[in-house]
Amino acid sequence: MLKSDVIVIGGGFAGLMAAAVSAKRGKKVTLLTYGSGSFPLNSGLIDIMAKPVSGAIAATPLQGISELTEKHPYQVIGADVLKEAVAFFMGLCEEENYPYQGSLDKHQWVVTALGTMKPSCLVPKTMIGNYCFKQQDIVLVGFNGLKDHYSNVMEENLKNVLENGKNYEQVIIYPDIEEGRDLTALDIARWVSTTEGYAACLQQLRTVVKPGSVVILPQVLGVKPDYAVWEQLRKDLQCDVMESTGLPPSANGLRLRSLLLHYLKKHNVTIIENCQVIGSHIQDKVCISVKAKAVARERIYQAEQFILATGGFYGGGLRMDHFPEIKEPIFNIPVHFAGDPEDWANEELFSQQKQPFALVGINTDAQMHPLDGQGNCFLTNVHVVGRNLSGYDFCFEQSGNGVALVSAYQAAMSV
Amino acid sequence: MEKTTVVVIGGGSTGVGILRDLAMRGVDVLLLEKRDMVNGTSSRYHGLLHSGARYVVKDQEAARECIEENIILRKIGKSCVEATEGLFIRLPEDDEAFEEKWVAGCKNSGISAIPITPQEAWQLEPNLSSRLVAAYRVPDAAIDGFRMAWQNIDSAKRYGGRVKTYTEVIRVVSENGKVTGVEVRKFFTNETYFIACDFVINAAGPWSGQIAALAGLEVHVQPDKGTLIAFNQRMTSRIVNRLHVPSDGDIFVPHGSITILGTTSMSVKDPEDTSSSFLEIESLLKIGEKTFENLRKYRILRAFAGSRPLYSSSGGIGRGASRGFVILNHAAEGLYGFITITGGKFTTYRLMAEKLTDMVCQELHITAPCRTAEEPLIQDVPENVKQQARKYFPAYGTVLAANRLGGERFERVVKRLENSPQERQLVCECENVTVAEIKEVISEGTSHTVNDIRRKTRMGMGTCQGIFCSLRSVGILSQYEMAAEKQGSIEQLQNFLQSRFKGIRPVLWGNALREIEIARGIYGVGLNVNGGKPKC
Repeated sequence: MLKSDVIVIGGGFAGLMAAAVSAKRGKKVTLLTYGSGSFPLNSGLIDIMAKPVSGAIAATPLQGISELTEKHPYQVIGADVLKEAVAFFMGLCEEENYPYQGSLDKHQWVVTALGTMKPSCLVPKTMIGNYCFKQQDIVLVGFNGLKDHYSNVMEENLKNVLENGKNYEQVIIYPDIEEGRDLTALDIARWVSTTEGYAACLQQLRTVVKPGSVVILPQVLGVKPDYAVWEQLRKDLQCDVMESTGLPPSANGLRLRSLLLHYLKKHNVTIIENCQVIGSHIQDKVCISVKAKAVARERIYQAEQFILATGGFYGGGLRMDHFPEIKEPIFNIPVHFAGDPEDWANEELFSQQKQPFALVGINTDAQMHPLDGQGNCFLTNVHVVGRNLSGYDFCFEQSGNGVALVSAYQAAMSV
Repeated sequence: MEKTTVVVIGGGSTGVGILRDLAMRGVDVLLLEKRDMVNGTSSRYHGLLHSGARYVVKDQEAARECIEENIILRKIGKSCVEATEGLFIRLPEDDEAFEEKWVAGCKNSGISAIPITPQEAWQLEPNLSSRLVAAYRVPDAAIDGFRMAWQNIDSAKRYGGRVKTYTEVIRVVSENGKVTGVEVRKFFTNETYFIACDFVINAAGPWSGQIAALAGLEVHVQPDKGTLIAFNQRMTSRIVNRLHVPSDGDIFVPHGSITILGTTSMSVKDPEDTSSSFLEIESLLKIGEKTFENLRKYRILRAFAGSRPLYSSSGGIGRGASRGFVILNHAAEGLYGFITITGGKFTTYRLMAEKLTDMVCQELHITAPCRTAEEPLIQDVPENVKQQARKYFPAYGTVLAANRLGGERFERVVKRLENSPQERQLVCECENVTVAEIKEVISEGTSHTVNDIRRKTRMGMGTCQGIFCSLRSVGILSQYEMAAEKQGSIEQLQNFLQSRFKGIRPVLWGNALREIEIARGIYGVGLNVNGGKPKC
């Protein structure tokens, strides 16, 4: 049986990054994936830290991290590693010809499908929303049949965010796609990627868009991780062009995913898809192998080191079939919620406090080894990254992909 | 000045029943509801059309009323009723002597209770407890409280009955011991104005004590909170009751693809208190799993709660208080024209309305007889319209939509689907609700929030609990002027997501927890629904 240096379990951002860093270090890496994590949900934005403690937005992402009071993955790992991780990610995107923009010293503002602005940190060029503040004319582009996009809502709320006195125009593009069927932004992105689709789109935009405007579209500027469509449209319209966030599936999330998968293949990572890991073989705190459900039988995968990137409750990396029993299903790493049942969730879904259920997860040491209830190392060759971790609320903090990035980097540097 | 003969206060089942009955007898009547219709007790219960069997031991009269009304409602509201039948099952720990009394009670009340063997019971409902020792079939049924109310209103409107929602009565005005009108306040604008009338009917359910107080009267209505759980599966095709002294958590009612388990019974101060706690849910599950042993394997959609109006002249509380209804003509206390109707239960709402309307008509010297028991609430949907609709709805969806929307509204929706292919898209994939249906409901002018649309269409009530249709429905609603002037789109979205979360919070584990994490991912992270001004 083939034995890897490192097995990474999980096909989300944390898993792909952990595999990328390990492979870059020359390790023989096998990636076991089952699904694509939250790529289709989070627009491929690398949020790092907007709201560390209260509802107030920190001056910069780095400043936000220094304001954290309780035990947080960023504090377990440290700001220096975070800087290295960011540099690694930015270099990787550069190398793959889809450079991201941003740094730990500044929030990047992104226009959302609701017309609010969202603070993020590392952002693809197509989604930098800062131009909105500068230009006078704002064009909101919708597509006929795209039911998850509402320019009227965006205009209403953008007016509250941006300075008064700007001009807004709503434009509907009619894509050459059969009417009456459900369209997603991804369908339209595919259409815009074709020569005819692009030409039709441009022609319709040109009749209404003045040069020098800001043109805001849903994520439809191509499906591949390159800026070709975006650059062409900027040039053809002589405008600032940007994509907003939206409901899933997110084209940019999937662009980032294919970029990373391309990088992994380039670095000879063995990728096994549709591979649900269901158990492990442990001896004296050492994992010998993991067991996966394959197409017709179970398969055993051996490695020296394992990185667990299976996600939280959403991804299935943690399960709570009944309150309050929480289970990490592969290694049985202990996870507990000790509070009063009525304190499991805040009364408000989007409140001014972190959600207690979100803070629950696996505790680790600085090398991302899981810890047991007494704080002792639970498994010596397993590292835990991403949403499995305890101590942070990706939603409240706007920190999800940031924690994924830094923990994946740290784990991969420790294997 | 706005004028009417009768003002009915309260948009629940009692209120709409009275509205319809008075309108059908030719009385000028206006119903006032402080929020949206069917937003209180009448939508926060099992949806059980009682056969009366539950009451045969304690209250034979209530039981008889139930079976009579049960038969009537099946006839006049057939698209609201799912004739599931019901089972009463006895477990070993339930008192055998009670079973004897119960069987005798059913016989005396004219309620068919057919004994079956445990084997037969398991054949009918394989998920039932393996410990059951006795079972009976009774003519219980499932009923859709929302739909029943809309159809009453539609029927009343055809006879000239009028409804104003988001209109709260803040003062009852009288002169020389006689009601002359009410002062009302509009919810969204705070505008107040006077409506002249000769009669005020207080049908505000658990709020009726507060309404009586506006007229300086005292009515002892104790709000009694009942919490229920909606499961995402139809674990039983029949209603299942425990055969014992009526108690918490002993009724299961299937509705379409879900099952509702309830309820608790807890005195509360404020009828607005519809929160449910984790512990209430846990106690319901503990009792419920005696009836269905594998109960905890089923996915829970949400918990919800409502307040029963328990009337006590003598101060009985909880299940000890009467579930019968009372009509209090306050003329005896010196205020002519003010009548309170309270207590009672959904199953007998029509009968309650009939008795009340009889009283008002007598005062008005109107001799027209009550016809609400004979005339169907809505007309049948013509076959050719159904045929047309089949082009746009998924096969089974046509019947569901026809039942849900009723004759005329269904025709208008089908016309929209035909003329505008855009509107064929589904807004709510869980409940199969199209853009056309949402737009039709909004254009009727009585829906101001996404929750108002939800109550009329069922959007957002399915498996994903509104996560994928929230932005869509806010986007569509915002295109209409009436919504924009009241609440901004962010407020609409926040309120709707929060109202869905309220019911999920006490059952936040398993797939409900996963679902909430998606909601936070989409609306919290992706859409930054909490907003905030950027600093640049």
